[in-house]
Amino acid sequence: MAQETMQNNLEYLSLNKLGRIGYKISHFFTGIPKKANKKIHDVPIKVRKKGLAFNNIFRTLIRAFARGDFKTRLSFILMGFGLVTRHQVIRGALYFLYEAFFILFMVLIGGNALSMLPTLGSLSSVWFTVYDKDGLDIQQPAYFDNSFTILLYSILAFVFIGILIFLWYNQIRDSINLQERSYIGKYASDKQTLKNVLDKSYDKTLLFIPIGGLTIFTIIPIVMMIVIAFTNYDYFHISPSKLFDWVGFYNLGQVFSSTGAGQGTAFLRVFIQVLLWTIIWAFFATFSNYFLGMIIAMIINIKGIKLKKLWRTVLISTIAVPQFISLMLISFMFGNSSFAPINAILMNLGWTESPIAWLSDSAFNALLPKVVIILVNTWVGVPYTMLICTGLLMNIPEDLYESARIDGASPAKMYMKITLPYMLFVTGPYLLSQFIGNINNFNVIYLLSSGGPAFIYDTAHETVPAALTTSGVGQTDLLITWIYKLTTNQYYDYGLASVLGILVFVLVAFFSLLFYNNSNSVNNEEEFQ
Amino acid sequence: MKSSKFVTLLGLVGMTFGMASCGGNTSSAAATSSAGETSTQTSTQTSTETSSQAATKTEIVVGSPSGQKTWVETQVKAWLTAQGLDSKYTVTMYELGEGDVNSKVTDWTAGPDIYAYASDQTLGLVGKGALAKVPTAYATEMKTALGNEAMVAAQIGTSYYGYPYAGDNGYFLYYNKSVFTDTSKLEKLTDVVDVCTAANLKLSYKLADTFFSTGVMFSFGARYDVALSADSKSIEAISADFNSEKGVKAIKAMKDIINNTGIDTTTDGQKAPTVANGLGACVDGGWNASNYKEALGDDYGCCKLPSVTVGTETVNLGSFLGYKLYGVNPSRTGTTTEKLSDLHKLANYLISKDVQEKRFDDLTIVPTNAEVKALSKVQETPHVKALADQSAYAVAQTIVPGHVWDTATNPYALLLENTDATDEEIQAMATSYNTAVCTL
Amino acid sequence: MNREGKTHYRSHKRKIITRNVLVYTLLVIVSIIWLVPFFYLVMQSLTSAYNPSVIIPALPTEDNINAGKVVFSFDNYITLFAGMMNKTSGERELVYDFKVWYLNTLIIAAISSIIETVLVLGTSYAFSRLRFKARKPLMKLILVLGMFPGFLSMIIIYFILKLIGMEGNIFSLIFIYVAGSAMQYYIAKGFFDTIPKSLDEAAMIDGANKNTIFFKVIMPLSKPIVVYTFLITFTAPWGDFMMASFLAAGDSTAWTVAVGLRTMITTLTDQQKYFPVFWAGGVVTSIPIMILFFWLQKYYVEGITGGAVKG
Repeated sequence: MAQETMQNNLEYLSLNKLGRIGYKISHFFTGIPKKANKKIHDVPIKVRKKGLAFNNIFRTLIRAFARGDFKTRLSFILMGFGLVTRHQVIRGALYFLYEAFFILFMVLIGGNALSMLPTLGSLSSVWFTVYDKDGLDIQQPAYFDNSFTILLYSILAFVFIGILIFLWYNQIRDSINLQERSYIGKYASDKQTLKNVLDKSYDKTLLFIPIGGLTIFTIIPIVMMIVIAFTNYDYFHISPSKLFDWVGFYNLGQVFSSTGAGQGTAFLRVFIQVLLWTIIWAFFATFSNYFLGMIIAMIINIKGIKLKKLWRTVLISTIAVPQFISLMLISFMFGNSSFAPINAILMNLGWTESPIAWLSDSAFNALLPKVVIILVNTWVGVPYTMLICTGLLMNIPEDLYESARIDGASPAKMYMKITLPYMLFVTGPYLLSQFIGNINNFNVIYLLSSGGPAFIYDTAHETVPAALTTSGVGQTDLLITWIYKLTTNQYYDYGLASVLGILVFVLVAFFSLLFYNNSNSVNNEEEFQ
Repeated sequence: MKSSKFVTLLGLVGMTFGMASCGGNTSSAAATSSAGETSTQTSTQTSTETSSQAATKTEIVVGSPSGQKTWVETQVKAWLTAQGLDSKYTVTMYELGEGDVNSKVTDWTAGPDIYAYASDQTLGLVGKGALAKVPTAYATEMKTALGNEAMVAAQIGTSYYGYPYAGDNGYFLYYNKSVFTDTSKLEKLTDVVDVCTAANLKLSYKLADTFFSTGVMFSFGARYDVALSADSKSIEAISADFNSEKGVKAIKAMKDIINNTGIDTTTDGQKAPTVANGLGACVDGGWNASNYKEALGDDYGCCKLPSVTVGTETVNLGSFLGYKLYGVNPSRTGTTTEKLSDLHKLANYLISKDVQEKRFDDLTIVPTNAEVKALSKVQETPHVKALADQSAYAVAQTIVPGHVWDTATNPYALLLENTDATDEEIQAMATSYNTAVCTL
Repeated sequence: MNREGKTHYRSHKRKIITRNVLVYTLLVIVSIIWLVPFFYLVMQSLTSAYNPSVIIPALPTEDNINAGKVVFSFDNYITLFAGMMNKTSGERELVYDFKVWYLNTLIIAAISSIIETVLVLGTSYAFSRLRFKARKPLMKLILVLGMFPGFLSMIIIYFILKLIGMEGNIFSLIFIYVAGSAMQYYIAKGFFDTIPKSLDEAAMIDGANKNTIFFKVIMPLSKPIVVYTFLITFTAPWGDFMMASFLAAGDSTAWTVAVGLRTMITTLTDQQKYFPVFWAGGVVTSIPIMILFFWLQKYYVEGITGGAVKG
């Protein structure tokens, strides 16, 4: 909205191009306190709304208990009872099934785990020696508390408890509503429930497997991952043979610490470099793919070029080969030795004398590998962007171009004023998702350079924590490949990996929020439809 | 008001059936003692003889790299039959590369019962409880049969955890027989270079790779020593004597090598010592043996590394040697003492003299058993003999301090910057390298 | 038309011809750059095993071919299916069974793609057309969940699978792929958004319930996106080596193509011997996917352009 008023502003229109940019920038900055102000004002309103909602819940519960007959009151303990006895057998039975499941789970697994949550277990394993019939001393372990499973089961327990509370409240509310409505003679029945499955409740029907799967296989692991960030689960505390403990913010502190035994630690320096490279890489990768794809799409799209389908097919064929094969192929072609294909050709042609270390040269902060990686990523990604831009270009109405041509606009100007704004507007969300995807783009970096040349540490002046050396973090590593190395290394450190994972998330969320709050594409979703 | 989170309800109800049917097997035994965390407790109990549950067979899962899978399976099955145990056990093969043991198996309670692993994985495995101590009787047997160097590969602290069966991840000297007609010239490094230069060829000694340059550092006896924590599961401190006279001499030897124009210390791929490649000899690993043999044909020759002289001292160049061992996994759920005892017997069998000989015959794997190593057929296989000879000067690649692999602090890199280093500068290099290595 | 007009026309035509020539040259160069790696891949897969002298296959230059360093044969493909030739015994030993991996991956891809397509389209339809209280929050939640890097969750997923007894089973992969279907709704939703709501309204007036609308009204118009979703979900298991290798366990008959090929070249022993076989495996894997892509190209393009941009 602010943008519209801005563009209608005569003052803005009267400025030249440079002035407009300056105006936008200054407007952005002056807008910040205003936006912040608005947000702060919104907070009490939101709090009040939430408070009212809570109030509502309690009131319903009290109403149900006070005015409910024995069926409703029994529902407080036996979930679904109120519904079953009021002709909603299916829904009531389902509620009851969940209660049964919940009790089963808590008794068998959950209660145990929760009780040990604060300490994450007190005895992990006992190794004892047994003498067998031949007199050999056999060493054997007996395992007791497994910190990892304690954590996992506790999280599951919390999730189930949460769902229980939610469902419990729902079925009580339904029960009391049904009861009161039944005095007037109107009630829903099983037949209605079944009919709704395909109609009014269709959203639930469609979504229940996907969201269920999402909860188990995505949400719970992520929650657990966040929780692990506050433990010291690493190589020295491997479950099941050892316990790990809560360490609070220690891992986070390790990331940002710059002091250690001796002088500074190299951790912060390395971390910042990896972070910077992640952002720079994502930026260049996304935009190089995008613009190159657009240019190629436009070129193919020019009227009068034959065999359009052929050119497009050629480019699309690169998508068909699985990435791990094509990337290994390229990393092989760019090998270091003088026998690797590209080096061999260059040396044969006499263009260079000694083999070039394309993917592991560490000069200038590993500039060469970084450039090579971005270029290779273009090779991988341009077919996709080209496809998208092709489709879009075909959608731009021709008369826009016609009228511009009549007005005497040059092709370059037509591009800047018609094509580019349209494309940017429409592909905004796509670009964002590409940017985010590139921040987390594991394949390209890992398969091409494995993180590239190692960092150079000055051990005389800085301490180098094990997390840096044993994980082998390198100069072309992204945060995500670093995390991978931390988790698959012999001396792994999950706690630290989790913290880094959370930081990646914060980074990505930051950019997304920035984009979403300022973009037209998202705010005008309904208009678009 | 139908809740839109009904969705989650139904989804989780579906889980009920899954959970209810499998809920039993995951309850962990509740700990009764709460006396803090104990991880080692020796109490001796004589296991009462219980006859095995006759009807159901127990499964033995054997981990092995893909190339040896069928061979190992045959050996294991043969042994079970010979011991009359094949009515008790069935064998399942589990494909696991020796170097991947730590990263591929996340859950050792479901991991293989007996498996092959590389010596540098040892500490990680012990920490995870994936390796059982070798019974004392077998350990003494091994010491006499395999010799001390191999036992270092199995040793953590004062106990032994694995059964070494191969010592083949090391390097030595490959040479071209047509160039080296006089094999006595292979004893000293300077002689080797002379012969090569006379034929307009070079010696390739890839010091740029820390795997090789650290070998040089070991030549005069300098070593690192890793001190483990009380329960032998983590590194507490590293000490080393690279800053002593031994380390200084080693750096001097390295300096001579770097300054010798007849030696190529860069790493440009892996090249066989053929005339076409411009090499008369090269220092390379056993993993290239078959390739180089094919490349050189009749001119194929291997021997241990030559010796270097610094001042008045002449020593053989040192190297790394990675061993392959068999380990027994005591953490697998449902493993009884009896089964463990059988597994240890099986492992002991797999490194016995006969099996080692067979392994050499069928798979050409370098044996660790001293007697087998002395057999003529072994001595006549060039790379096996070379590795065996070099093993006397090789440091077992078990717990290697991480910073050993850093290229920037390695004396090779330091010397490259200053090829004319004076004695004081060399001493400084030795000290800084030592500090780097000792950093945890 | 006067003289001036004619010259103008001719020079204009010349401009167009020069432009076309430039463009065609550019396109040819672009095509070459994009296709070179694949020519190299196919060529590599056809040359015999590594040059023992330099442990890297020699470039197929004329000299090398003449010198006999580069020999073209189908040996790698035969090795892929029948095992590596043991030079001493003269027999082929099957260490890595590619056929089984291929079959496994085919089964996994087929099953998971069918189930996933149904679920993804259902989810996208729900988000696009149906209005329910949790709609916007769920969409935001899924967006946020997508931002987390997934590695650590692999270990956790392993333990969750262990809880329900499905770990180490190859079909647990199908489980995981299917469970992730909610996260892939974006493109399909964008596509559905472009279908005018008036169709829905007309059908509702005629008394159809939402289910009927979905299957009888929307689906017939959505052929491109159905095919697109199917294509994407089918090709995913072929290239997924992270998740699959995690669940792979040690039974090599349960591996997928991606896991198997990668193991071939990353385990210490025999690594170099198997590189050429890896390339051959790569070609064999890519062929069906490429065929599918070409055949279904029209739908793929329509699907991605229709849906990706609206997001």
